[in-house]
Amino acid sequence: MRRLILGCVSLFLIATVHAASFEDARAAAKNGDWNTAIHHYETILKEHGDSASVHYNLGLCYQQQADTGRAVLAYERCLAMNPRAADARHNLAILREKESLPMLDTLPEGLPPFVAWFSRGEWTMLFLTALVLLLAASWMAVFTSTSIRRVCMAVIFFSIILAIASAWVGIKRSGVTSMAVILSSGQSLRLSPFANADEVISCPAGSLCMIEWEQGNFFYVRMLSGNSRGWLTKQHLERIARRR
Amino acid sequence: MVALDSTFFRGAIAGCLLAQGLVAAELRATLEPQRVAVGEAANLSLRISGGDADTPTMPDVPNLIVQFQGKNQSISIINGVTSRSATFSFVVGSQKTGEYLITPITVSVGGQVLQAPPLKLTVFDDGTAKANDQSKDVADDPNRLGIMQVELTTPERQEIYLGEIAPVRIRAFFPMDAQVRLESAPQPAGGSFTLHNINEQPQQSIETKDGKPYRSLTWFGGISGTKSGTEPVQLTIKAVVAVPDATKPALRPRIGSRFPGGTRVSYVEENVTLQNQDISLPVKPLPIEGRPANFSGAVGEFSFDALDIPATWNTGEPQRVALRIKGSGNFAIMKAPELSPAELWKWYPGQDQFTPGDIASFSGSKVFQYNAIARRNGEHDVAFALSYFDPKQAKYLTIHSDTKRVSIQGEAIKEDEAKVAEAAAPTPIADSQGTMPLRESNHRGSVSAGLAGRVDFILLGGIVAFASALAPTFAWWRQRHLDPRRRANQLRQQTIAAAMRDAERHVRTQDAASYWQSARIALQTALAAQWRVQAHAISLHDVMHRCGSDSPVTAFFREADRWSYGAASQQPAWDTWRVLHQQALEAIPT
Repeated sequence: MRRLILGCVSLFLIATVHAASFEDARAAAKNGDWNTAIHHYETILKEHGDSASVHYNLGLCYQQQADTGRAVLAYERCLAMNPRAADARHNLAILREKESLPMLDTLPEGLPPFVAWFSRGEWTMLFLTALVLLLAASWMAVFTSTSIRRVCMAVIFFSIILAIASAWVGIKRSGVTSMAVILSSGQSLRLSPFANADEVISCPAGSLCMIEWEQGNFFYVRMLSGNSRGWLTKQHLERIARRR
Repeated sequence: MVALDSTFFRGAIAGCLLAQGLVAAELRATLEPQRVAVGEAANLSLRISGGDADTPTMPDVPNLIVQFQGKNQSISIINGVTSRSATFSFVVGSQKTGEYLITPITVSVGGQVLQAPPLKLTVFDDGTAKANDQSKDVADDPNRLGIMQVELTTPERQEIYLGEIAPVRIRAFFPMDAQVRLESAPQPAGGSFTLHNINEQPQQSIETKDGKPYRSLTWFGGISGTKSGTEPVQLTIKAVVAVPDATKPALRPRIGSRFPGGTRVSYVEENVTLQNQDISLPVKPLPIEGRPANFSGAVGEFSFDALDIPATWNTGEPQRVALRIKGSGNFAIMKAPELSPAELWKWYPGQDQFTPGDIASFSGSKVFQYNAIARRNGEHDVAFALSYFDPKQAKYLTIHSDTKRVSIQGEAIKEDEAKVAEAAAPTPIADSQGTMPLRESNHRGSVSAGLAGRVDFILLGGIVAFASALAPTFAWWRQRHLDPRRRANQLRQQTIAAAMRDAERHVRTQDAASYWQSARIALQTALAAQWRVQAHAISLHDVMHRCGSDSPVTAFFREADRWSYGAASQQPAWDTWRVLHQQALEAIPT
């Protein structure tokens, strides 16, 4: 019992500190102290994990600092967690229009529009929910009477369809974990993974690309705009899906 | 002929060289004239004959300006004697009166050191010395590199209001003999004022200021105060100015001289930051009294120039309205005027475009376009309303455009529907860059996209899927386990097996009656499953009826009855009986 109480108190304290840091960051941003706000938001992400709101506010701070690459990255991370975030989509469109970046969608081609309603994480949770529903309905069907068993069979059928659909979408969108944003301007794709290799094409900050494989300190990437391929130093791009 | 010429020229060249060796080197220095006015140039020539020499080094005489002009060389052959000479020309003079003694000039010619006699130059004053002193004063002038002026183009205004953009003219004056490269446009030096709409290319002209000619650059723009109070207007311009070096004044050619040259002007570059002389401009806050509710910061003089409002509307359907405002003032921060009556309309931020009417973008016209939704039906007179502050009248004014009668069809929008329409409309713009504002609260959103790749998720999903798959397996097993027919069949098989075991045991004990009884039970149990009757009720009669009289089953039952009811004295034929029993069992269809 004592451990339970201590755990609850710890959770409460963590939640309080979290909220205070978010408020501090927001206050700093409202005062135009973008550097402090960015520091706070980065700290929150580091200590408490992903949050769509923190990513959004961080993107806005970077946008004010004219750091296009990191602003695009933060907005994309916000949209990866919540594709229905109209504010992030709006700001990202403005940023891309201002920086003459192509209006790209991270949704792969050929997928129906409803796929974009939910993030890959939400589709994954939907898959898990369908499995749990399938589990419950299946066992309930074993031990119940015939009339209830019919309802259970309908639920089982629906759960299987849902699980297959969500798994299919999740697999189709698995490429999002390889998607990355180029952070700094003036970077060029190179023919081979060497700093002095010939340049293929220059890529502006905020461009989206897919990481195909890596070698040493270089990633072999495919630009989503134009499908150009080449090697880029790891430090100049960051994945949209954060790795822990 | 060719051979003759070749021999002749070889001999001539050899003779010349021999003759040259015989002529002694000579240095002759001439100064002409030996008297010059202040700032005038005299010509000093050094003629070296009989050899070649490098440019002589002139002695350093205080206040005497010496500048090398050039070198002439000549070769002459007179009566077969070849002579070479080189003449070095210098310009000498001074900006100060006095007698200057040029110490003997030494030249080395082919290892022979020659020395010219000393020369004396007298510099007298012809009235220009004073002017030169004045030029020295100019050199000490702090404004010698340029002057900057800022003035309001509306001199009748002695004060401005916060938010008002006052048109200004910014001028920079540079000396005519200066070479100027601008490093920056005019910019405010302090934080009291901001500068707007400066034209990129300044106008250039030549003007006389305080009796001196200047090359002037003129910019037009506007200044606005950042806080109320009397603060100095300070603007600066950064430039690189190259001016003649005052420490190395040039000498002018002497009037009537047959030598053309004076000395060249040498320039010195300086990085300068021009700043205007302080002018104080009181900045007054906008009055609070009388401020209209829809005042959005426009300060100046404005009027409606044109408008476009559709004549027919349907409630809830957005339509585009447009208007143009002309005048002078802070167009940059002016927001779109509202449609009035305000309660009739819901409208959303749209687009605007400013067309400047002057070089400073102070006056001009601005076109606004935005979408509006009519809330109530009926016939209405509508107009645009703009509230602004007129600094000349020092009061707020609200002007209305010409009214236009519009017809609105449809049902009035309830407040909820208006909110729905608002939600469906383009997202409101939060700031000047058009970006949405910061989020007020921290909503984490969904789980991250990398969840599917996590081991715990895969483990949990696998367990749930496995448990789900167990359910139908368990159901199948359970159904199979609880099936009465299956259980009856199982029981029957067990009974047959037990009876067969008993029969075999009776064979070993040579107990024929018990054998036939056990074998009969096995066969009856097998038949009962087929005929769905009680096993013990099956008799020979039933078997004959169902299987026929020649069936092995009938033969078995007939033999069994015979041994059970009267053949016990006969010799047992165990092998035959077992074969018969086996044939009977195999004859029963499964």
